[in-house]
Amino acid sequence: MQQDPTYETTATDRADAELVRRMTGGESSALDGLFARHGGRVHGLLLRMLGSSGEAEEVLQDVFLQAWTRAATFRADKGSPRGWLMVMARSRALDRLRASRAARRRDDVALQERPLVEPPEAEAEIERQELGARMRQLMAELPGEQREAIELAFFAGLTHSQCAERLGLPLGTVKSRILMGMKKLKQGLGTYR
Amino acid sequence: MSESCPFTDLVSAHALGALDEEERVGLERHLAAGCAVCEPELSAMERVAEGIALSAGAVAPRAEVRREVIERATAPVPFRRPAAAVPTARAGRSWAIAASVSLLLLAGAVGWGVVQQQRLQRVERDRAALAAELSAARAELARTETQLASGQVERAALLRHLAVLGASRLQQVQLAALPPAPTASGRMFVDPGSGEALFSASGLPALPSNRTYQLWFIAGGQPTSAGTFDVGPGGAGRVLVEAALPPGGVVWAVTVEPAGGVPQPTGEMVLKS
Repeated sequence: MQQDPTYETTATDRADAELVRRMTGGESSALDGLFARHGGRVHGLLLRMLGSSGEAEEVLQDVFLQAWTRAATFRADKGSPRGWLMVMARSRALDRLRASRAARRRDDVALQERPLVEPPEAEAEIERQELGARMRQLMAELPGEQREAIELAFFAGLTHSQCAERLGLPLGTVKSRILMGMKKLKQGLGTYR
Repeated sequence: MSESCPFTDLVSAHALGALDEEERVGLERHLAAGCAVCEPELSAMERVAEGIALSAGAVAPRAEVRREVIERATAPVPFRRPAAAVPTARAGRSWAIAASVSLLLLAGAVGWGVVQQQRLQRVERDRAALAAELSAARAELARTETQLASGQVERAALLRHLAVLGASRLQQVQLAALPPAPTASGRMFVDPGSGEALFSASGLPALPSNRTYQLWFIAGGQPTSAGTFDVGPGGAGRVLVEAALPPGGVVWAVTVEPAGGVPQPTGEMVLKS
């Protein structure tokens, strides 16, 4: 995932990258720092995907332990530590979903409106300025059927064909909804600097 | 954006992880070859995907979770044996004391059992995490081996290409662009000594994963397949012709066909000599 182009986020990325660098030297305080800065975001994503606080907490721990053991593989030129964590979190959550008996429950969760949650105080100020808040607004502005298809694909990990089957729609319709929605989101972010 | 690529519409679904297997493999192959249109689109769509992930919002985890992450990260051994056995009550004590001790033992046993179960769960999670890491490492190794094998095949092919191009009496045939690919160009290099021929094209548009380019030579009005090829950066592609060429002149042509090629041309012609 790309680095955020704003100065604030770039500065945040640099601070995060420094924490990851210190983690490679075995400094657990750096891991604690990374958790403090991004634990809430990763947890929020996992809750949204898994729908179960127990599973979300387990995967949350696994994600940060994976970051700890694989800190040396992080490439700052390939993206931000935040993006790195989110990709790991989504990947592990999808593994759970695909192997889990909870698939149906989660799919239902993915289709629900996002629960209103307050971010932790330490993250609130940063988050207000960042991508997630803007994306929430853009998602809310999408036509419902486009948002639904994108959320099923992203949060429930369904492919085009699986989305079409789940929604009882022709494959082409689902592809078109996802494409149109993603183009609008990209366009919306394009003006966000 | 003035340029276009038939793969670009797949990129957004790829960033979401929504492509079905065949499309995903086709797009990844296309991206690996390099595409000036799809690469920036992928970067933009990955940023959108990151935004969607962050749009879930932040939810503070319990403090215990954070503490446990640090404990697990710094623990030299994830599982430790329980403490020494609880001493038994001495004989001669009163019933009340014995009952109290029993209750304490029972509570201790229950507590110890809970602790053990938690530790067992933790070990299970560690085991699952290690298994996932191992699986990912194996997949990476398999990919590397495939790339290595592919590199060796490429090298052998390039050596054969060089052998044709180094022939002392090399013949060249120009293929002209036809309307479906107006910017394309192609050239045949034929070594009359060995009968081998090398085809090289550039400026051909990229195709979706279910289509391929196919080279033909036409003699006496009868087309014969000379091989299929995909194009990389700059729409470049090459074919080393394995089929025996008939004596006398032939006409060369390139058509767009279903992946894997067809016995007789069915698609539109993009180049012809």
